[in-house]
Amino acid sequence: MSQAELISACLKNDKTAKKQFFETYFSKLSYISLRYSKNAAQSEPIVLQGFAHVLSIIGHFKSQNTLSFDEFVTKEFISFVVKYIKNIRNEYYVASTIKAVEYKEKTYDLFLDSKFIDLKNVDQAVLLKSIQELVPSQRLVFNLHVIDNYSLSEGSELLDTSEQSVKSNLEKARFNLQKTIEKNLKLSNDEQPV
Amino acid sequence: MSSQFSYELDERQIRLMMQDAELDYNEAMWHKFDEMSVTQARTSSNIGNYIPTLNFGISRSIIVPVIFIVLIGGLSAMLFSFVDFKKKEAMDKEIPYMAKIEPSKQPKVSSKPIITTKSVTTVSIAAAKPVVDTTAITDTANVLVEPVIKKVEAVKIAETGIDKLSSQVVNPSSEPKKETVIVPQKKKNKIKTEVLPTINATAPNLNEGASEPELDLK
Repeated sequence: MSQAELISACLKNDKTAKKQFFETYFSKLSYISLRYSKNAAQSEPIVLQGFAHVLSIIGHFKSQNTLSFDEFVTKEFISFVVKYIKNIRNEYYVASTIKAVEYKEKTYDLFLDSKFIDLKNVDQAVLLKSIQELVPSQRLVFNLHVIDNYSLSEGSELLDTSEQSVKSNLEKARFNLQKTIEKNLKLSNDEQPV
Repeated sequence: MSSQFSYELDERQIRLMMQDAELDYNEAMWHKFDEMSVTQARTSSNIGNYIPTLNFGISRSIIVPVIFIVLIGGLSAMLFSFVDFKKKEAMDKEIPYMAKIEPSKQPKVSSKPIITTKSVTTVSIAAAKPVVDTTAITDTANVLVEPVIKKVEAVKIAETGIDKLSSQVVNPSSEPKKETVIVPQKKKNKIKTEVLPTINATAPNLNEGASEPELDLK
Protein backbone atom coordinates (compact mmCIF):
# COMPACT_ATOMS: atom_id res chain seq x y z
CA MET A 1 0.00 0.00 0.00
CA SER A 2 1.46 3.34 -1.04
CA GLN A 3 1.58 6.40 1.20
CA ALA A 4 -1.35 8.15 -0.50
CA GLU A 5 -3.44 4.97 -0.40
CA LEU A 6 -2.58 4.50 3.27
CA ILE A 7 -3.70 8.04 4.09
CA SER A 8 -6.96 7.75 2.17
CA ALA A 9 -7.69 4.34 3.74
CA CYS A 10 -7.02 5.71 7.23
CA LEU A 11 -9.37 8.60 6.49
CA LYS A 12 -12.03 6.04 5.59
CA ASN A 13 -11.44 4.41 8.99
CA ASP A 14 -10.08 1.19 7.44
CA LYS A 15 -8.85 -1.13 10.16
CA THR A 16 -6.14 -2.82 8.11
CA ALA A 17 -4.74 0.54 7.03
CA LYS A 18 -4.73 1.70 10.63
CA LYS A 19 -2.90 -1.43 11.70
CA GLN A 20 -0.31 -0.95 8.98
CA PHE A 21 0.19 2.65 10.07
CA PHE A 22 0.52 1.51 13.69
CA GLU A 23 3.08 -1.17 12.82
CA THR A 24 5.11 1.28 10.73
CA TYR A 25 5.40 4.05 13.31
CA PHE A 26 5.03 2.28 16.64
CA SER A 27 8.73 1.61 17.27
CA LYS A 28 9.83 5.14 16.60
CA LEU A 29 6.95 6.97 18.26
CA SER A 30 6.90 4.81 21.37
CA TYR A 31 10.59 5.56 22.00
CA ILE A 32 9.92 9.27 21.55
CA SER A 33 7.13 8.96 24.07
CA LEU A 34 9.43 7.07 26.42
CA ARG A 35 12.11 9.75 26.51
CA TYR A 36 9.57 12.55 26.93
CA SER A 37 7.80 10.86 29.84
CA LYS A 38 9.13 9.97 33.26
CA ASN A 39 8.69 6.19 32.94
CA ALA A 40 7.16 3.41 30.81
CA ALA A 41 3.86 3.53 32.71
CA GLN A 42 3.34 7.16 31.81
CA SER A 43 4.48 6.53 28.26
CA GLU A 44 1.90 3.86 27.41
CA PRO A 45 -1.28 6.02 27.39
CA ILE A 46 0.66 8.75 25.62
CA VAL A 47 1.50 6.37 22.78
CA LEU A 48 -2.09 5.21 22.37
CA GLN A 49 -3.64 8.65 22.53
CA GLY A 50 -0.87 10.07 20.37
CA PHE A 51 -1.62 7.56 17.62
CA ALA A 52 -5.29 8.38 17.82
CA HIS A 53 -4.45 12.07 17.53
CA VAL A 54 -2.19 11.61 14.52
CA LEU A 55 -4.78 9.46 12.75
CA SER A 56 -7.45 12.08 13.40
CA ILE A 57 -5.40 14.81 11.71
CA ILE A 58 -3.84 12.68 9.00
CA GLY A 59 -6.04 14.44 6.48
CA HIS A 60 -4.17 17.69 7.09
CA PHE A 61 -1.08 16.31 5.43
CA LYS A 62 -0.50 17.64 1.95
CA SER A 63 1.95 16.12 -0.49
CA GLN A 64 3.02 19.60 -1.64
CA ASN A 65 4.17 20.35 1.88
CA THR A 66 7.89 20.76 2.59
CA LEU A 67 7.67 18.12 5.29
CA SER A 68 7.67 14.45 4.41
CA PHE A 69 4.94 12.20 5.78
CA ASP A 70 7.34 10.73 8.35
CA GLU A 71 8.35 14.19 9.54
CA PHE A 72 4.72 15.29 9.64
CA VAL A 73 3.73 12.30 11.79
CA THR A 74 6.71 12.74 14.14
CA LYS A 75 6.14 16.46 14.53
CA GLU A 76 2.45 16.07 15.30
CA PHE A 77 3.18 13.29 17.74
CA ILE A 78 5.83 15.35 19.57
CA SER A 79 3.52 18.35 19.85
CA PHE A 80 0.83 16.06 21.29
CA VAL A 81 3.25 14.55 23.83
CA VAL A 82 4.47 17.97 24.94
CA LYS A 83 0.92 19.21 25.47
CA TYR A 84 -0.01 15.99 27.28
CA ILE A 85 2.87 16.25 29.75
CA LYS A 86 2.38 19.97 30.22
CA ASN A 87 -1.27 19.32 31.03
CA ILE A 88 -0.28 17.17 33.99
CA ARG A 89 -0.18 20.45 35.84
CA ASN A 90 0.44 19.26 39.38
CA GLU A 91 3.48 17.36 38.18
CA TYR A 92 4.76 19.87 35.64
CA TYR A 93 4.61 23.06 37.72
CA VAL A 94 5.41 21.69 41.15
CA ALA A 95 8.21 19.43 40.12
CA SER A 96 9.81 22.24 38.14
CA THR A 97 10.54 24.20 41.27
CA ILE A 98 10.76 21.63 44.04
CA LYS A 99 12.64 18.41 43.81
CA ALA A 100 12.26 16.20 46.80
CA VAL A 101 15.49 14.40 47.42
CA GLU A 102 16.17 11.99 50.21
CA TYR A 103 18.84 13.07 52.61
CA LYS A 104 22.06 11.18 52.17
CA GLU A 105 25.09 11.32 54.32
CA LYS A 106 28.04 12.57 52.37
CA THR A 107 31.14 10.58 53.15
CA TYR A 108 34.24 11.45 51.29
CA ASP A 109 37.09 9.00 51.26
CA LEU A 110 40.15 10.12 49.33
CA PHE A 111 41.63 6.63 49.30
CA LEU A 112 38.68 5.05 47.59
CA ASP A 113 39.20 3.89 44.03
CA SER A 114 37.61 6.40 41.72
CA LYS A 115 36.77 5.06 38.33
CA PHE A 116 37.00 7.26 35.33
CA ILE A 117 33.60 8.19 33.92
CA ASP A 118 33.56 8.64 30.21
CA LEU A 119 30.75 11.08 29.52
CA LYS A 120 31.44 11.02 25.81
CA ASN A 121 30.31 7.46 25.46
CA VAL A 122 27.29 6.97 27.59
CA ASP A 123 25.18 3.86 27.36
CA GLN A 124 21.76 4.37 25.75
CA ALA A 125 19.85 2.85 28.66
CA VAL A 126 21.69 5.02 31.19
CA LEU A 127 21.09 8.09 29.07
CA LEU A 128 17.37 7.34 28.74
CA LYS A 129 17.06 6.75 32.46
CA SER A 130 18.92 9.98 33.20
CA ILE A 131 16.69 11.98 30.86
CA GLN A 132 13.60 10.48 32.47
CA GLU A 133 14.84 11.55 35.88
CA LEU A 134 14.89 15.20 34.91
CA VAL A 135 12.03 17.39 36.03
CA PRO A 136 9.33 17.67 33.33
CA SER A 137 10.05 21.23 32.22
CA GLN A 138 13.77 20.51 31.82
CA ARG A 139 13.10 17.14 30.22
CA LEU A 140 10.80 18.65 27.61
CA VAL A 141 13.22 21.44 26.75
CA PHE A 142 16.19 19.09 26.52
CA ASN A 143 14.30 16.66 24.29
CA LEU A 144 12.97 19.40 22.05
CA HIS A 145 16.15 21.41 21.62
CA VAL A 146 18.97 18.86 21.88
CA ILE A 147 17.43 15.68 20.47
CA ASP A 148 14.63 16.79 18.18
CA ASN A 149 16.39 19.90 16.82
CA TYR A 150 13.76 22.43 17.75
CA SER A 151 15.02 26.00 18.04
CA LEU A 152 14.54 27.95 21.27
CA SER A 153 11.78 30.07 19.74
CA GLU A 154 9.95 26.98 18.43
CA GLY A 155 10.31 25.36 21.84
CA SER A 156 8.99 28.43 23.65
CA GLU A 157 6.03 28.57 21.24
CA LEU A 158 5.24 24.91 21.81
CA LEU A 159 5.62 25.16 25.59
CA ASP A 160 3.77 28.50 25.69
CA THR A 161 6.54 30.18 27.68
CA SER A 162 9.16 32.82 27.05
CA GLU A 163 12.35 32.07 25.22
CA GLN A 164 14.33 33.15 28.26
CA SER A 165 12.70 30.57 30.49
CA VAL A 166 13.32 27.89 27.86
CA LYS A 167 16.97 28.89 27.78
CA SER A 168 17.16 28.82 31.56
CA ASN A 169 15.53 25.40 31.72
CA LEU A 170 17.92 24.12 29.09
CA GLU A 171 20.93 25.22 31.14
CA LYS A 172 19.52 23.57 34.23
CA ALA A 173 18.72 20.43 32.23
CA ARG A 174 22.29 20.18 30.96
CA PHE A 175 23.74 20.53 34.45
CA ASN A 176 21.29 18.11 36.04
CA LEU A 177 21.62 15.58 33.24
CA GLN A 178 25.38 15.41 33.58
CA LYS A 179 25.11 14.97 37.32
CA THR A 180 22.43 12.32 36.91
CA ILE A 181 24.46 10.44 34.31
CA GLU A 182 27.48 10.47 36.61
CA LYS A 183 25.37 9.14 39.45
CA ASN A 184 23.74 6.45 37.32
CA LEU A 185 27.07 5.39 35.82
CA LYS A 186 28.56 5.02 39.29
CA LEU A 187 25.60 2.93 40.36
CA SER A 188 25.84 0.69 37.29
CA ASN A 189 29.60 0.25 37.82
CA ASP A 190 29.04 -0.69 41.44
CA GLU A 191 26.46 -3.27 40.48
CA GLN A 192 28.73 -4.91 37.91
CA PRO A 193 30.60 -7.97 39.22
CA VAL A 194 34.33 -7.53 39.64
CA MET B 1 24.86 25.66 39.34
CA SER B 2 28.43 25.97 40.40
CA SER B 3 30.91 28.04 38.47
CA GLN B 4 33.31 25.09 38.47
CA PHE B 5 30.93 23.06 36.35
CA SER B 6 32.20 21.98 32.94
CA TYR B 7 29.74 20.49 30.52
CA GLU B 8 31.25 17.36 29.06
CA LEU B 9 28.31 15.65 27.39
CA ASP B 10 28.50 15.25 23.67
CA GLU B 11 25.09 16.47 22.52
CA ARG B 12 25.65 15.47 18.93
CA GLN B 13 26.25 11.89 19.89
CA ILE B 14 23.27 11.94 22.24
CA ARG B 15 21.06 13.25 19.42
CA LEU B 16 22.17 10.53 16.98
CA MET B 17 21.78 7.86 19.63
CA MET B 18 18.31 8.90 20.73
CA GLN B 19 16.89 9.73 17.32
CA ASP B 20 17.76 6.36 15.89
CA ALA B 21 16.57 4.46 18.93
CA GLU B 22 13.43 2.39 18.57
CA LEU B 23 11.37 0.03 20.64
CA ASP B 24 10.29 -3.42 19.54
CA TYR B 25 6.83 -3.78 18.11
CA ASN B 26 4.28 -4.93 20.64
CA GLU B 27 1.14 -6.65 19.40
CA ALA B 28 -0.60 -6.11 22.76
CA MET B 29 -0.34 -2.40 22.23
CA TRP B 30 -2.19 -2.69 18.93
CA HIS B 31 -5.04 -4.53 20.62
CA LYS B 32 -5.22 -1.86 23.27
CA PHE B 33 -5.28 0.79 20.61
CA ASP B 34 -8.00 -1.03 18.71
CA GLU B 35 -10.15 -1.34 21.82
CA MET B 36 -9.60 2.31 22.61
CA SER B 37 -10.61 3.40 19.09
CA VAL B 38 -13.80 1.27 19.31
CA THR B 39 -14.78 2.82 22.63
CA GLN B 40 -13.99 6.25 21.25
CA ALA B 41 -16.25 5.57 18.24
CA ARG B 42 -19.07 4.58 20.61
CA THR B 43 -18.71 7.69 22.74
CA SER B 44 -18.47 9.88 19.65
CA SER B 45 -21.92 8.69 18.56
CA ASN B 46 -23.46 10.32 21.62
CA ILE B 47 -25.63 13.41 21.10
CA GLY B 48 -23.48 15.46 23.45
CA ASN B 49 -20.47 15.17 21.21
CA TYR B 50 -22.26 16.88 18.32
CA ILE B 51 -22.41 20.06 20.35
CA PRO B 52 -19.33 22.08 19.43
CA THR B 53 -17.01 22.72 22.32
CA LEU B 54 -15.42 26.12 22.55
CA ASN B 55 -11.89 26.13 23.82
CA PHE B 56 -10.47 29.59 24.22
CA GLY B 57 -6.74 29.55 24.67
CA ILE B 58 -6.36 32.57 26.91
CA SER B 59 -2.76 33.01 27.86
CA ARG B 60 -1.34 34.77 30.89
CA SER B 61 -0.15 37.67 28.74
CA ILE B 62 -3.77 38.48 27.91
CA ILE B 63 -5.41 37.83 31.26
CA VAL B 64 -3.03 39.90 33.38
CA PRO B 65 -3.29 43.16 31.36
CA VAL B 66 -7.07 42.75 31.12
CA ILE B 67 -7.34 42.33 34.89
CA PHE B 68 -5.16 45.40 35.47
CA ILE B 69 -7.16 47.50 33.01
CA VAL B 70 -10.41 46.49 34.66
CA LEU B 71 -9.00 47.24 38.12
CA ILE B 72 -7.64 50.66 37.14
CA GLY B 73 -10.82 51.55 35.28
CA GLY B 74 -12.98 50.47 38.17
CA LEU B 75 -10.97 52.43 40.70
CA SER B 76 -10.95 55.58 38.59
CA ALA B 77 -14.69 55.27 38.02
CA MET B 78 -15.19 54.92 41.75
CA LEU B 79 -13.09 58.05 42.39
CA PHE B 80 -14.98 60.02 39.73
CA SER B 81 -18.21 59.06 41.38
CA PHE B 82 -17.04 60.83 44.56
CA VAL B 83 -15.92 63.98 42.75
CA ASP B 84 -18.82 66.01 41.28
CA PHE B 85 -17.67 68.71 38.89
CA LYS B 86 -21.15 70.14 38.39
CA LYS B 87 -21.35 71.23 42.01
CA LYS B 88 -18.32 73.45 41.61
CA GLU B 89 -19.89 75.26 38.66
CA ALA B 90 -23.04 75.78 40.63
CA MET B 91 -21.03 77.24 43.51
CA ASP B 92 -19.36 79.72 41.17
CA LYS B 93 -22.66 81.14 40.04
CA GLU B 94 -24.07 83.88 42.21
CA ILE B 95 -27.41 83.07 43.61
CA PRO B 96 -29.60 86.20 43.78
CA TYR B 97 -31.20 86.74 47.15
CA MET B 98 -34.89 86.18 47.04
CA ALA B 99 -36.88 87.17 50.06
CA LYS B 100 -39.34 84.58 50.96
CA ILE B 101 -42.85 85.81 51.06
CA GLU B 102 -44.83 83.76 53.38
CA PRO B 103 -48.25 83.04 52.12
CA SER B 104 -50.65 84.96 54.28
CA LYS B 105 -53.53 83.28 55.82
CA GLN B 106 -56.69 83.87 53.99
CA PRO B 107 -59.12 85.69 56.19
CA LYS B 108 -62.39 84.17 56.86
CA VAL B 109 -64.95 85.87 54.82
CA SER B 110 -67.96 86.65 56.83
CA SER B 111 -71.08 88.47 56.09
CA LYS B 112 -70.37 90.88 58.88
CA PRO B 113 -67.17 92.82 58.24
CA ILE B 114 -65.36 93.94 61.36
CA ILE B 115 -63.41 97.15 61.45
CA THR B 116 -60.89 97.41 64.19
CA THR B 117 -59.32 100.67 65.04
CA LYS B 118 -56.71 100.99 67.65
CA SER B 119 -55.89 104.26 69.26
CA VAL B 120 -52.62 104.47 70.97
CA THR B 121 -51.16 107.67 72.30
CA THR B 122 -47.51 107.90 71.47
CA VAL B 123 -44.85 110.58 71.68
CA SER B 124 -44.62 110.98 67.91
CA ILE B 125 -47.86 112.56 67.11
CA ALA B 126 -47.04 113.26 63.45
CA ALA B 127 -46.77 109.58 62.63
CA ALA B 128 -50.05 108.85 64.12
CA LYS B 129 -52.68 108.37 61.56
CA PRO B 130 -55.75 106.29 61.48
CA VAL B 131 -55.53 103.18 59.41
CA VAL B 132 -58.46 101.07 58.63
CA ASP B 133 -58.03 97.40 57.97
CA THR B 134 -59.16 97.28 54.39
CA THR B 135 -59.26 93.58 54.13
CA ALA B 136 -62.19 93.34 56.32
CA ILE B 137 -64.13 95.81 54.27
CA THR B 138 -63.40 94.37 50.85
CA ASP B 139 -65.79 92.06 49.15
CA THR B 140 -65.45 88.35 49.18
CA ALA B 141 -64.35 88.24 45.53
CA ASN B 142 -61.45 90.62 46.08
CA VAL B 143 -60.11 88.95 49.15
CA LEU B 144 -57.70 86.68 47.31
CA VAL B 145 -56.33 89.34 44.98
CA GLU B 146 -55.59 92.20 47.37
CA PRO B 147 -52.70 91.93 49.82
CA VAL B 148 -53.47 91.99 53.45
CA ILE B 149 -51.91 94.75 55.46
CA LYS B 150 -52.11 94.15 59.11
CA LYS B 151 -48.72 95.18 60.29
CA VAL B 152 -49.54 98.85 60.68
CA GLU B 153 -51.76 99.37 63.58
CA ALA B 154 -54.25 102.04 63.62
CA VAL B 155 -53.51 104.83 65.93
CA LYS B 156 -56.04 107.40 66.55
CA ILE B 157 -55.92 110.20 68.88
CA ALA B 158 -58.95 111.97 69.80
CA GLU B 159 -59.21 115.32 68.24
CA THR B 160 -60.24 116.97 71.41
CA GLY B 161 -57.25 115.97 73.38
CA ILE B 162 -54.63 116.94 70.76
CA ASP B 163 -54.28 120.49 71.94
CA LYS B 164 -53.89 119.56 75.52
CA LEU B 165 -51.48 116.75 74.78
CA SER B 166 -49.23 118.94 72.76
CA SER B 167 -48.73 121.33 75.62
CA GLN B 168 -48.00 118.64 78.15
CA VAL B 169 -45.14 116.23 78.53
CA VAL B 170 -46.36 112.75 78.02
CA ASN B 171 -44.81 109.80 79.69
CA PRO B 172 -45.70 106.82 77.48
CA SER B 173 -44.68 104.23 79.96
CA SER B 174 -46.89 105.54 82.68
CA GLU B 175 -50.03 105.67 80.56
CA PRO B 176 -51.90 102.56 79.49
CA LYS B 177 -52.85 102.00 75.87
CA LYS B 178 -56.45 102.22 75.07
CA GLU B 179 -58.17 100.63 72.15
CA THR B 180 -61.37 101.57 70.53
CA VAL B 181 -63.24 98.83 68.76
CA ILE B 182 -66.07 99.78 66.51
CA VAL B 183 -68.25 97.11 65.10
CA PRO B 184 -70.68 98.36 62.51
CA GLN B 185 -73.47 96.01 62.34
CA LYS B 186 -75.49 97.02 59.35
CA LYS B 187 -74.13 100.11 57.63
CA LYS B 188 -70.57 100.31 56.42
CA ASN B 189 -70.38 104.03 55.93
CA LYS B 190 -71.35 105.02 59.37
CA ILE B 191 -68.46 104.51 61.69
CA LYS B 192 -68.94 105.72 65.16
CA THR B 193 -65.88 106.49 67.11
CA GLU B 194 -66.06 106.59 70.79
CA VAL B 195 -64.41 109.64 72.14
CA LEU B 196 -62.39 108.86 75.14
CA PRO B 197 -61.78 111.43 77.83
CA THR B 198 -58.25 112.68 77.83
CA ILE B 199 -56.19 112.22 80.83
CA ASN B 200 -53.97 114.97 82.03
CA ALA B 201 -50.71 113.24 82.15
CA THR B 202 -48.70 115.64 84.13
CA ALA B 203 -45.21 114.86 85.16
CA PRO B 204 -44.87 114.60 88.86
CA ASN B 205 -42.88 117.44 90.29
CA LEU B 206 -40.26 115.97 92.49
CA ASN B 207 -39.56 119.22 94.19
CA GLU B 208 -43.16 119.71 95.06
CA GLY B 209 -43.67 120.33 98.71
CA ALA B 210 -40.04 120.90 99.44
CA SER B 211 -39.29 124.36 100.62
CA GLU B 212 -36.40 126.05 98.97
CA PRO B 213 -33.96 127.68 101.28
CA GLU B 214 -33.92 131.36 100.84
CA LEU B 215 -30.73 133.01 99.93
CA ASP B 216 -29.32 135.48 102.28
CA LEU B 217 -28.71 138.54 100.32
CA LYS B 218 -26.61 140.90 102.08
